[in-house]
Amino acid sequence: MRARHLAIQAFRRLCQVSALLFVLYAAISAHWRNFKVGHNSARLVGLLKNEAWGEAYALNERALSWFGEPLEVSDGFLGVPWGASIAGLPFTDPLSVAALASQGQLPPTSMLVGALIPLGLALVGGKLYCSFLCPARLVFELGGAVRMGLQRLGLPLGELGIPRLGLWVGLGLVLFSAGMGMGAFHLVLPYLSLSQGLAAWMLTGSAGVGLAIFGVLLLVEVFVAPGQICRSLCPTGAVLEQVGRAAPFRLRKVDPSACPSSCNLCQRVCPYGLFPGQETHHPSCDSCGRCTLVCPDNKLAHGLEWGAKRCSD
Amino acid sequence: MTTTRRTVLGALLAGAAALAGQVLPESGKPPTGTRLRPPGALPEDEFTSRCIRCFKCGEVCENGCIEFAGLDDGLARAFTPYIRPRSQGCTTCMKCGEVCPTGAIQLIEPDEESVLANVKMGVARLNKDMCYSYAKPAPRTCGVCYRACPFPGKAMTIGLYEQPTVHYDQCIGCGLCEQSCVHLPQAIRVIPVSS
Repeated sequence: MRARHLAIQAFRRLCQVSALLFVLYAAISAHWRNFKVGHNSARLVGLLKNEAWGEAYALNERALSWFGEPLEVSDGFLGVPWGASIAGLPFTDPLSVAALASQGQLPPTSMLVGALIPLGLALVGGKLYCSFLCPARLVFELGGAVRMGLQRLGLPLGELGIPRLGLWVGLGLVLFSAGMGMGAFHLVLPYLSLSQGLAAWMLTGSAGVGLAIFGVLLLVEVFVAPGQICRSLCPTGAVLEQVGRAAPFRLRKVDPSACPSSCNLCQRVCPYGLFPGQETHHPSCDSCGRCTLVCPDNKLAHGLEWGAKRCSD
Repeated sequence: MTTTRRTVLGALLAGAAALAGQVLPESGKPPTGTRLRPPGALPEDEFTSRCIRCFKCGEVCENGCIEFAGLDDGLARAFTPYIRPRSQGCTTCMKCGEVCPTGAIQLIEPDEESVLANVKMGVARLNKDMCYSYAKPAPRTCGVCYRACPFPGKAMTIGLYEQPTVHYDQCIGCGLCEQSCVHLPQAIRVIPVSS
């Protein structure tokens, strides 16, 4: 059982790191496309920039050609902050559709179709995106590690608890966009500001506003309100939570016997402040599985369960 | 330390209002600064509200001419794509309109006829006082902008000493003339159509 929990955690980290690397890679591949169209030759690229660039160019071309015509494959990586098309499957952030609609613009069919897969994932697995794919979450978790180190050193850090406002933030953004006629989602969503910042950095060489916004959020996470951005403020998490209220893939208590009354380890590691041992963990639980690792009796596990989630929060 | 939903909502609202007061242009005041938008872009207001800032146009631009605005353009136009013709003019390959997911940049066929008929990013404006070909008393035959123009004889014609004349009805504002101009500061500049 424990080996399985560890494997899930390893898989989760792998997914998170791959998602972040993919965002970076997608931004860099704009330069590769430039070389491809302009020179289409590793030797020319090597002469123009340097040997390492030439080799990287050739390597990328070989890798892409496994999946099809290289330039066409890399077409799918365009616009990664909001969406992508991987192996012919379109992905669009459902919130980009909301952002466009709230500005009084009709979302095109291609975007609606692209939102189907992420919504389907939410229907099956709830907030799996948050725990397994969100690049901002990975950086926030790294920030959490830094925070723990600082606390070991004896630094007094803030511990602000923010009530759960994700849907209100989303509603506010929609109203703001509708009232002002300008988009606001891209200025607020943590994962979007991170990936837009990275994209702008790779494209233009200057860090840009996106990374600045994300830096502020990270400072809040580390020094003021640990875990509160994901838990209480991110509208994407709140929307996925509502979509996935009846998601069958979830964390559950597999051993129905009572826990020792003094044990609250699962509550202490939960980034959302839930208490999985007492099954208060639906539906805002994102199945990250940290509680499964700390439970001394292995009472918690990922699995399938049907029926609506209990809402005891 | 705990807080209630009401106080945080209040603080968020106050913060948003303060931010709106700081960053948004007052109503009636024209937005500061004008940008040359990619070819096929909708009129400015519609463009900024239809653009979802996915960066696709900048990533697909093989010419590397599309840049992205920062916060100094105001919140409403942050992260929107624009072209700075002095550093790189647009070659009207029309890839940006092809990939734009929302139609903020309209798809225009990349052939000469269609580009001439549908693209209007701006118009080139010549300052004869600075142009080498118009220099007095001794004009120096230059003609660099004419050779850069993608529609020579239509958008731009030349006379004696290769003195350029811009035909505003045909000029699409691609900015290749501004990029090529050898005079510093440049004698020919593109005025964005959004201004």
